[in-house]
Amino acid sequence: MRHIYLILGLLIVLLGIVAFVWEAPLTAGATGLPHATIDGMKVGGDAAARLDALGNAPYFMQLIVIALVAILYDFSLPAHRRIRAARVGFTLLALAAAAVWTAIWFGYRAAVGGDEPAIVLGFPWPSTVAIWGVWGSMLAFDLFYVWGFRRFILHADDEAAFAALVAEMKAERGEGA
Amino acid sequence: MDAYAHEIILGFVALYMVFCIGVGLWAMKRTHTAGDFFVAGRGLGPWVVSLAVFSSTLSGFGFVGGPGLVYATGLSSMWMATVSALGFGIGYYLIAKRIRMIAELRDTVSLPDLVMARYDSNWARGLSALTILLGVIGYLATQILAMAMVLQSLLADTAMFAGISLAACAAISSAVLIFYCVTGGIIASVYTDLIQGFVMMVAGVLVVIAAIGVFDGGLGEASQILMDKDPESALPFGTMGPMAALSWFFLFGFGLSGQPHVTTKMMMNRRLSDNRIVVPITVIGYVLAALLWVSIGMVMRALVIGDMHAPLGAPDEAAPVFLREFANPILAGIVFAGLFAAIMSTADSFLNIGAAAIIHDIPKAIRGRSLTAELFWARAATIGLSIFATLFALYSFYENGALIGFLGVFGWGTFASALLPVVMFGLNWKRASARAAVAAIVAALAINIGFYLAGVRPPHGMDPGFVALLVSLTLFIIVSLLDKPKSLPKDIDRVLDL
Repeated sequence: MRHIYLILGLLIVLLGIVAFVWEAPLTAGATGLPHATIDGMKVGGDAAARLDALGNAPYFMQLIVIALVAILYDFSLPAHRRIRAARVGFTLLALAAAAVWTAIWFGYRAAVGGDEPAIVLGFPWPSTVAIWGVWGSMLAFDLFYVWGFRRFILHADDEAAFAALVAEMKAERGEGA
Repeated sequence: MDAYAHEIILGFVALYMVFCIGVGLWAMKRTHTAGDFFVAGRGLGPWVVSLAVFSSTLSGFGFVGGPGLVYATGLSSMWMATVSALGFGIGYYLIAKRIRMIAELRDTVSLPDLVMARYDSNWARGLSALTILLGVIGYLATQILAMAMVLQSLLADTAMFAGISLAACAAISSAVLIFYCVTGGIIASVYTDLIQGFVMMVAGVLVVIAAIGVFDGGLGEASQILMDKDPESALPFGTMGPMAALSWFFLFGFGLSGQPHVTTKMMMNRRLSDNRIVVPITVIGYVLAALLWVSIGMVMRALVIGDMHAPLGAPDEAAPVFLREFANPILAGIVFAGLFAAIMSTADSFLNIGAAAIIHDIPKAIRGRSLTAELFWARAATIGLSIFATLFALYSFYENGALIGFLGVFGWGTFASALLPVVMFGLNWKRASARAAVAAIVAALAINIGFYLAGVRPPHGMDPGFVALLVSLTLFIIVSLLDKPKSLPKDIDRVLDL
């Protein structure tokens, strides 16, 4: 039951951030400007002014989303399978995802502030972290699912309990086990 | 382009269409009941389910629209692709196990069936079916139109079909789609998805290799050009800025599990334990196929903005132009076949769930039982829906372009905001109530349609679907908490404990 209140609390904070962003002053080219000569192409607006208007609201929003993901994953486990290994795993993976996100956000802020980022693996460093780090940090949760499958997702005892339930319901409907 | 190269591309596409027809005939022999038609009798192996899930997720939008978005706005849309690992994670942690359990216990064949089993509410079932039908028409029409346009662009370069009309191309594409969906139902759909998934993965990897070869300095040189000419487009949030990118991250990541064509496939695997294998194959398959999203878009943007290529007529030409001009003809042939695969694998899934809504879910919500001779009517509804969507696509293209665009956009955001809370909380929380389900669906429809009708765009590039999803998730929990707790049927209650 505690999970749902945590989830509700995080969703309300997210709505609060959305309301803040909604009210934040719109800067010139907040979502890009049309290219002067190329139809259908947008170029960046004044990113520094946009950041002044939004502050770190996007950063905190994404941190909350990461926390929401970890809590939802824990929430999905059967109550009797919410074991310490799962909790520790979700917490560590959420912290890793938050670290990746922090690197992206502050790398982006630095680049907008005038630092020329190095090109790594074909992209400017903050973008490389965004492409592979965001995917990779969420992939880690998926691999944790694979690792924990028989420990907390579908324990053999739970699978047997489900088979028994199927047999019981069939018997009640007169279909035979 | 050399004539022989064009023939190679057309050859691959023709081969692919013949393959689809063959699969339809093969699957027809295995389709005996409506259960076979809609959920393949819950007898599919993990590889088939994995590739069907990811290939129906990555539609023509990913293969054509994705590179077009990167061309137009830089890396903003990259967040829609990299979020796939979260999307499938939410799906498999929170939904896949229990949806499959309830499917076996209650013999459900569709998402509204599941909603009925969980909430015991005809209102919730009917509203979810209606939402699916509205979204399906728009999505399906978008896919058919995309198929017709790609086919027309390929045939227009040949002497024999130089003047072929869009309507004729729509008719050809729809005929192939109808044939294998009607004959083989979901069995044909998922087995073509299996091949389509492989084609898309191979295409994704080969395109990246081709993209790296366009510049002597590889993708790094392309990035450097962008950093010199328009730095923000190469930074993580592209020209649209952080709120647009993060709202897409949320909407596409969480929203994936509200897509009925994806969640329905979670009912189809043979064994519950197959989910352990399905997850990594799906996640890795998707990202391999999605590699072309970023790489083609980046390269074409760098070429055009760096004055090394003429501007494109429209952003969506990024992928076709890249393939014609920079890819080996065989690779271009594979990717064009992959493009048809991506479009068809999504379209066939929508045909399936749309037909289920028409002949199974809506009649059950209204009169308490589905139609007799369900298999016959399922096939008839598939034909009817295809023809209607094709005509709608052509009407929208020629008469009212905004309509199809609206319904296409409306589809993902509405599915996500209307159906995700209902399914996700319903399968994990015993207090989730029918009133909350109805309130979340109504609120999601009202917000999505309201934004459109009022012409309101949330500021800073935030997606309307993101706002609708946040509101519907929150509303769902609040209404459930305010509602008096109800006892659940024994089987559902025990499933929620497992």
